[in-house]
Amino acid sequence: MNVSFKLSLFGAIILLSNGLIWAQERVVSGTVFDENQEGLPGVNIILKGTTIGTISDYNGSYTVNMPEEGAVLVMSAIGYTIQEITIGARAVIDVTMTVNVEELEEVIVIGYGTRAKRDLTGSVATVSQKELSAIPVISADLALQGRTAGVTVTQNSGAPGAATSIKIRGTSSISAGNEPLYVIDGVPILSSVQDITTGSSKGDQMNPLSTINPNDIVSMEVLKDASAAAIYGARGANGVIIITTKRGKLGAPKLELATYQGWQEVRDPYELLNATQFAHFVNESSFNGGLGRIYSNPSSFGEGTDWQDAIFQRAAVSSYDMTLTGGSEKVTYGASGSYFQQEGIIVGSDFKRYSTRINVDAQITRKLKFQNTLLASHVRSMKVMTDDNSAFDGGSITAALSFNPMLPIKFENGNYVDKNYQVSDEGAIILADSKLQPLNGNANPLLKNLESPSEDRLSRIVENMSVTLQVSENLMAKVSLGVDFSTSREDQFTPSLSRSGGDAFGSSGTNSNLTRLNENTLSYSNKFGIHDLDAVIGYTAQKSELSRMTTNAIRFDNEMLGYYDLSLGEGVSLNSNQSEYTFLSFLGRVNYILMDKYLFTITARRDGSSKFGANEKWGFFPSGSLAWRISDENFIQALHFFDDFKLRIGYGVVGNESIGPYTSLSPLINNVTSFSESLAFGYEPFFLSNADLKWESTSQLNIGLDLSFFDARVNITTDVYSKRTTDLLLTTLVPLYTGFGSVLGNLGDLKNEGFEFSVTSNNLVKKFKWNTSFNFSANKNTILSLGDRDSIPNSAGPFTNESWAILVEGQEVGTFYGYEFDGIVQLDDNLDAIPKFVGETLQPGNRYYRDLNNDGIISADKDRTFIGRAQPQFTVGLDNNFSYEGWSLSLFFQGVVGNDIMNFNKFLTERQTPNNNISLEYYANRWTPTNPSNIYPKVTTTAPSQHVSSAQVESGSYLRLRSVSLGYDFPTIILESLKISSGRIYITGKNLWTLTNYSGYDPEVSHFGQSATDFGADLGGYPNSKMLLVGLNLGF
Amino acid sequence: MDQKDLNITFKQGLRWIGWSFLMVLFSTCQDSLEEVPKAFLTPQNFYETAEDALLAVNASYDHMASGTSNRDFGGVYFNNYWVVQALASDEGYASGANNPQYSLPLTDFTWDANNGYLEDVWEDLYKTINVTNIALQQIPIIEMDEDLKNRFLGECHFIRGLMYFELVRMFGDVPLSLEPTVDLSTISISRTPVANVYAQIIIDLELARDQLPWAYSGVDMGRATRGAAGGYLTKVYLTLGEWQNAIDEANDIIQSGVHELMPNFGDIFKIENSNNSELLFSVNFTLNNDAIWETSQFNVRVLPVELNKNSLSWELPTQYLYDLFDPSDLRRDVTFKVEWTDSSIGETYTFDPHIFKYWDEAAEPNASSSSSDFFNLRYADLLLMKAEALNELSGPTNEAFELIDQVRSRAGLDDLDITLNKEAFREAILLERTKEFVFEGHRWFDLVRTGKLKEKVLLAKPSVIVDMSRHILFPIPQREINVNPNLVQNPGY
Repeated sequence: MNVSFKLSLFGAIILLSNGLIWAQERVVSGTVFDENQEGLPGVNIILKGTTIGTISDYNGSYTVNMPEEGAVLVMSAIGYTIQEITIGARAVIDVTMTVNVEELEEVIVIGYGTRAKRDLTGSVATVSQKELSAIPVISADLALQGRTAGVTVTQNSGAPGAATSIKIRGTSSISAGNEPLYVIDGVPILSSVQDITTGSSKGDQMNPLSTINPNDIVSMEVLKDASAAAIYGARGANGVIIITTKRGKLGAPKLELATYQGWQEVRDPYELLNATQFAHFVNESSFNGGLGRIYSNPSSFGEGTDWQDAIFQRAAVSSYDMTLTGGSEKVTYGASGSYFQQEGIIVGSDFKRYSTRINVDAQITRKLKFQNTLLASHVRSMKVMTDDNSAFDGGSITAALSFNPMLPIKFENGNYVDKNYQVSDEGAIILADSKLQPLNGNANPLLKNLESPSEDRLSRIVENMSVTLQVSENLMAKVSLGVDFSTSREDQFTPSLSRSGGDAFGSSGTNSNLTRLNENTLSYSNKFGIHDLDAVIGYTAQKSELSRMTTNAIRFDNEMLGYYDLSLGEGVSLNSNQSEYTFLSFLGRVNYILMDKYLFTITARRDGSSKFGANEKWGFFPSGSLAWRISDENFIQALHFFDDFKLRIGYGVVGNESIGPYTSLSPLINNVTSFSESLAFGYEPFFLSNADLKWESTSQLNIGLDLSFFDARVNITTDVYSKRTTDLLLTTLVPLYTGFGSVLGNLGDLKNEGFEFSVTSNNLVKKFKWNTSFNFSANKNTILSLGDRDSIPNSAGPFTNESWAILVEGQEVGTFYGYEFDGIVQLDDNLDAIPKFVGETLQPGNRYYRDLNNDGIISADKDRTFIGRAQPQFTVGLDNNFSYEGWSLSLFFQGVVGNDIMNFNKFLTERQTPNNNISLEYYANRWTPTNPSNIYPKVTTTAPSQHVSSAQVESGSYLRLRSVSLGYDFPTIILESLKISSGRIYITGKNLWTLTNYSGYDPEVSHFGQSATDFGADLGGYPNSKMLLVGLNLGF
Repeated sequence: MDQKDLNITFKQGLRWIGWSFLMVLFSTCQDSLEEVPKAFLTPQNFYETAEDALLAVNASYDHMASGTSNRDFGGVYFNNYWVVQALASDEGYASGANNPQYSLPLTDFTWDANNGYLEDVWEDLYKTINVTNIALQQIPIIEMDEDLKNRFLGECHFIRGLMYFELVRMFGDVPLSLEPTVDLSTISISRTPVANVYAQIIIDLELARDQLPWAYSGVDMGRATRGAAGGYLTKVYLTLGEWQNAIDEANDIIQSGVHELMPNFGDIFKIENSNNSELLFSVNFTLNNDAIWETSQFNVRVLPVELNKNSLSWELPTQYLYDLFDPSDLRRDVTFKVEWTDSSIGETYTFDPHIFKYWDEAAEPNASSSSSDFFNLRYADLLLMKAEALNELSGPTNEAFELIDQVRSRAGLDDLDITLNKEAFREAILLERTKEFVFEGHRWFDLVRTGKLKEKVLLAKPSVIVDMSRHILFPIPQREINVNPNLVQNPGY
């Protein structure tokens, strides 16, 4: 067949069809009913083979204008079986849709393929678009919170766009990261903030997932057990989250607009002392310290300044989304554009995202299909530093907690009060040149927020292009090329004024990261007789390249230009870096179903990673699982009760390779010495190389049960699992005479055991609908071995310079460690009998600690013990949805139980000496001779040194109404009068109610972010907010 | 399947092959999992040129000086080494303001195997050795000028010999490693007997002596010389009691005429006289504008807090030491001060004796970070060593008197009474060393070598208990024994 002939034939067909289309037209109309014979809205009605079609309205009615010769209508709707209706001569066609056997027919994305939910043998959870869109969130990971059993999402910080922490089935690693692998439309994306940004700006680090517009997502699947995650081999140990974006749908172009506007506020500010109370506090401290009273008339200071009020604001959030979908049988497209902006509840902080998505699917020939996914976004965020982890700077929250309430925000001359000055009895501000020093080193929190800009900008493109060839009826070949490209710029400038007199400091960093991915798979599926076989094999190659540059400068001659001209500073320093790594994999999976009852899955992946030692480049990760659909056995069918009853069991090994490239090598670093006053450089190895360095391995056994009954209205999934991680990446000490101190090696061992239960129930299904989903999960983590060490304390925390959590065999990762607070010394106590630190003198009103070894002395090595746990014992989620006619109401509760928080804020809010403001709770209940508190010490000017103890540990359990939402879908009358196809208006409240005993701003906090060893601390964290918003969705 | 289908399948197949080809193209650039870092060097892509060889040698010097790449900052001679020598003797005491858990036990002879200062010295010495071992392994295979190569190797042999000499004197038997550490194969080696360590030290220092020049010019001044190697060989033989060898090595240097005493004692320490001809070896520090950690720590640690600068009174001389000086001894007021006048405000501060000799007030008025070098080995030391060896070999000869009197006359003192007997001369030498080398990192060594640790320390610190079976060696750091149980602790620890 020659080309010209083909072309002419093609032309002929076009001409012919055009002629036919223009020939004659007719109208078909009717109503689509659901299983209860009620009108079914939202059904796609397409003339088969064309783009002609419509969507049923609120009453289920439809009208299609179509060419005379049109023969077949295709009717589809989510949750219903697709129907093809032969039109014949009819002008009115009423159709009753039949319910798809509920969610059992739901298709689940499992990585390199899909699977009917009912045929799963591993543990896979899915979060639907409806659940995703229930709470407006900045990033999709937050939408997972409380939705699935076994997935614990912690919003480490309330800063807009800040990184979260996600743990799937507990903490599997100590130092190699616990975050899952994210795969967006087939591309494993970089989700570690270290890969995406330089981390050189102030404030909370950005969440790499905040670059993805959550409204672009149609579903998220969580691969939890080894059987499911083994297809991702060396990256599967922390679980895998597969994100699928919305694609085009057959039908006429449909435009949807969605917007919401919201307002956020801080949830629960501290009650601190006002100026009058603070004056009393200073007087009493001074008196107790043996000094005279400072303030003769405390009440003359009145209320003073509420520094929290100064930095918190009611913050707006708004989102605008436009989505276009449509397509013919040959080409479908889905495109979106969106703008999201959120002010922070702390003055000076915000987040903005501009994003677009273009997804195209084209059936080029009968056998050749092309797919393209393109996600592009630009994010920019102004950040504020809220926590005090650098001595010269302070953070805005710690400063707001600390600042003297007697001070005004500004001096009379209009300049900001820069330091935490003392105030004289006459009310004068005592400036620094006096003998009286400022209270503490913090700078005015408002000044810091307004005058010390820190700005992150991040652009990202995720692209995946694939060609699929249907080689034969059963065999499909697919080649895809993917890209994850991001580039960031982080700037910050701190003028000298907001450094409490220190030198101005500025920095600027830029990072770019390009990941290229090529995947090649062959899929085979066939049913013959009682056999159902589905298999995939593949080869993939991935390469990531990172390059970055950071520069900083200190002491500026002219501070006006800030970070836009760092060359005005002295001591400009520059750092540049480049790194890359390669990942090669061979993968395979076989799903086999015998007699629709016995299901088997075998998965294996062989991964090669350049990151590991020369002797350990390749790893093999096999898994196997089987399931027995007992409901298909006669003895169960005879009960006429179960729609599905499936027992699953799976075992496999997966890995964790989240370490940096070149970790196994011995980099040479330069050092510098001098001869005759002239610098001379040298080179030497910085680390000892380890050619045997390899991934952490996690083996996991999972046993699960899927139940469905009452006509599939109730669905239960429950799993128990046992995970064991070996070859933990830990540093081990080597003798100093080698010239090195330690080397990173594979030692140590830990396990996670847990239970998960989830149920969804359609309680009412008539006109008034009510459905409920509930999930519960419990996990127990245990360290089995730390290699050659008995225990590893974490690095020293703030205020006391003591470590506060420890890794010990037999305990959990995230075990708090310190002294046991034993009480307050009372007036009639025998001071000699109370155990003390060496050199410590105690007085009535001071804290003392438990002498665990009863030697009469409190010592760091003998009297510290386990005082709390950072990991929750269980988590719950409960979602209820009600709908009646166009109205819908949803209530979503989420909670974690059994975890503790190491509240470092207490070193400020319960400080005995007047170096900063304190909490009213403490001051009102402090020890005095007449109020012999056994909890709160006295106030004084010379207090014993502070220690990490159980006095700072609080329960972090909470239950919160994560969201409540009331919505109304416009009825047909309105839709028709507005000439739109759909419309919805809603009002949503987020975090409106929280049950917790935690004294800080919010129990959802982790000052040290994702770190496994430092999890669960609060120190001036950016508080989570509560939010109220109204939204409107319109479809055209 | 009809003809048309077949045809399409075939063409699609071709396309499929095309795609596969593209894929292979795409993946050829990444088919290797070998890591080839671009942003840093590794031993695999370094050590190829003469310039690389120089950088490898310089790395060893850095670990003797500021140790810029150390986790704790500070190399061997940055501070802890001389602090230990001063505190664990009659020479100095710690105020306790800095690391009291380490500095006070050194002062009062209650140190144990967990002492962080001792661990730092141990760590820095061995870091230097490993870096030197790398250079000694890599430089011989670099194609470069042979003379320069020999000089580089000579510098490395000198540094390694010196490091082991410090180790063997402080810790006795020590792990002896002459190859760079590249894997964990050496983590369980045992201690090598003192005699074998000394044998290696002599090999290294002799190689160095034979390969090094007498002097350098320009910015190479400060590198190890023949005089440095010969001077330390003298000290090695003196320590081993090989008197004639010590005299021979000393003579080699004296006869060269390269080194001489500075006419004025105070000038030795002036910044402008860095690397002066009295110095057989000094570790150079600088206050160069770009330098952050390359500065000397003497002033910041030993000058009095009363100066209201960044000086901290951490280590001070004992009153006993101060009182040993005759007021006419020109060294006294260079070495110490008990009062100081701030000329800018005309106010005078008085204090207990503090070490002032390292402060070149005119050159560096701010009295904190400094360019002042560490004076490892001076010509005065060589003269006194030779005098000591002569006395030990054949009593106080005229030549021995002449040597010690050179040092005394510069200090403005009369010649020694020539009627002194051998024992009195021995005592005179030790006293001269006491006054000549205050806080120069020799004291504990001198007292151990002469067997007078207990006797002298009790004079300065009457309340301490010195155990001559224990305090003549420092303990192997406990950390090392924890990691390698094959290491046996020194007696008494």
